[in-house]
This record gives sequence, C-alpha cells and structure tokens, in this order.
Amino acid sequence: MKPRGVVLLALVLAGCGGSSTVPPDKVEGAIRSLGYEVRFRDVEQPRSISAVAGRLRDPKTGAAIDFSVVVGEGFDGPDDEPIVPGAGASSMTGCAGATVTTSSGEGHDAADRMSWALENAIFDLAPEAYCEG
Amino acid sequence: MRGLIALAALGLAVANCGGTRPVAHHPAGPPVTPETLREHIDRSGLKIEWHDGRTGDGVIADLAGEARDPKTGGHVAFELAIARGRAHVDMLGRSRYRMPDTPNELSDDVDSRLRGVIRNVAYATWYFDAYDSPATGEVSARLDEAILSAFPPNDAEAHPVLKSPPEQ
Repeated sequence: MKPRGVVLLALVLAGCGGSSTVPPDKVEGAIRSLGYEVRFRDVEQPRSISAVAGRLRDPKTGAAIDFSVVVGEGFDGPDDEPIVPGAGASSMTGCAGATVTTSSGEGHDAADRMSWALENAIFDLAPEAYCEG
Repeated sequence: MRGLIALAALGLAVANCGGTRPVAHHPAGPPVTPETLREHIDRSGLKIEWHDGRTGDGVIADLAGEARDPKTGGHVAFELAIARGRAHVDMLGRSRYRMPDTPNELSDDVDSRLRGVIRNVAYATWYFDAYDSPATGEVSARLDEAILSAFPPNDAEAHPVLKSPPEQ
C-alpha cells in the first residue's frame, strides 16, 4: 500500500474521515455553546453508549427544560436512557446515532425554542447525516 | 519517509479523531424505598388511585395506579417496579396496565411509554388521551417531579446539581 493510502486508511479507522454520527466527546461542548445555564446529572451509562442529562435555563426569559442526550450504536432503549422529568408527553428525536429527549419545560414558547436549539446543536455535530430539524 | 508516515498514521489511529470510546459509568447512591416513593407521590397534590402490581423476581414492590388532576381532567396511569439493586425495564409489566410492544407505543388512543430506570426504580406511564393534552402533560410532569423528589436533593442521579457531567 502506498503511503497516502496508509494515511487515508488510518484516518478512516480513526473516525476522522466523516461525521455522519454524533461524536460523544463533542456533546458537552455543543450544549455549553448554546449560552444557557446548564447543570448536569450523574446518570447511568453502559459501556457502549454515552449519556448526558441535566437542565438548561435561559437567564433572559427564565425558561427551563430538562434534557438527555444519548449517543452510541449500542443504545438499547429505555434501560439505557436517563429518565427526563416532564418528558413523558414531550419530545424525543433520534438521528445520526444520537437521541435527544427534552421536557416541555417552564415557559412554553421559550422552552420550545430551547429544545430546538439543543437538537440542532447536537445534530449539527454530524453534518454528513441528514437530520430533519 | 515511509516509516514516518506509518508512525503518523498509527498516531492518528491511537488519538482516535472520532471521539473517545465511552466506558461504563454507574452513579452511586442509596436506593429509594417503596414507602418513601409512595409518600412523595401521595404528597404530589394529584389524586392517586393505587392498583399495585405483584412482587417477585427481584422486585420488592410494584407501585402502580392512576394520577389525576380533578381540576383539569389530566389523567396518567403509571407503574414503578422497585428492585433491591439496579432496576431494569423488563421488571415492569406486573400491574393491570399492558406493557407496550415498543418503548413508545400508540394503540387504541393509549400512548404507552417505557420511561426508563433511575437507580432501583423502573418507570412506565400510560396516557389515555394520547393526542397531546396539556392537562395530561402537566399531570405527567408533576408525577415525574414527585418521583424524583423521593431522592435526596443532593442526589446527582435524580437532580441536576453538577457543573460538568461526571468523567467516564
């Protein structure tokens, strides 16, 4: 194999060649980049997935939502997903190997905007995946 | 030259541009007791009608029933299977409410949801007016809050109290 081939193969094996799935180590940064106040929970996660959960609050409007973001191909349904309070009748969106669940929150219109912003921030981490917003 | 390129390639593979591979993480904390959980649900301000399910196979209590807000008509059925150790959603299905075939199943206007697990509690809810009733959503949210309030306020698995997620 030529040297360039070796490098390309290594890049692909290392996961540098594309971003059709959400990289778990970028999730926290994406959540912080939203500019909301954020507090996290210490949630259970099996070896094959990465899960973060917590609460976002917009200091300008006072609106708040609870959320979870689960990333990984080993995601195996509700056993692997943190319970999100208030999300029983609310939003769950899956794409690019990630599932984002949000509560309807306090302050409905503002909370809806926060949910969309969170979903966009997470799914934008996988620009090669087609995630409908 | 070839050696250098191969070394660089190996370095990239080790660095793993695709992100670090998650490892298992198990939050620590005491289990919640059935008595505490029932007490907090009873204090939620919702009208609760208890129809507990059966115990056994590692389930020490199966708290189930219906929660209503008489003022709004909001109505949710629920089941909480409480284990000695870590719970799993397959511990549910001990009450009068039919378990969904999929985690989120809509059939005959009943929206069944396997909500997940928190420590020693597995949780499911059923919504009978499935088409997005705000009153039902409100009852569901209050029930969720009552369940999580059964864990101490500094319990980081139940409450968002950490500035950063725990290291994996």
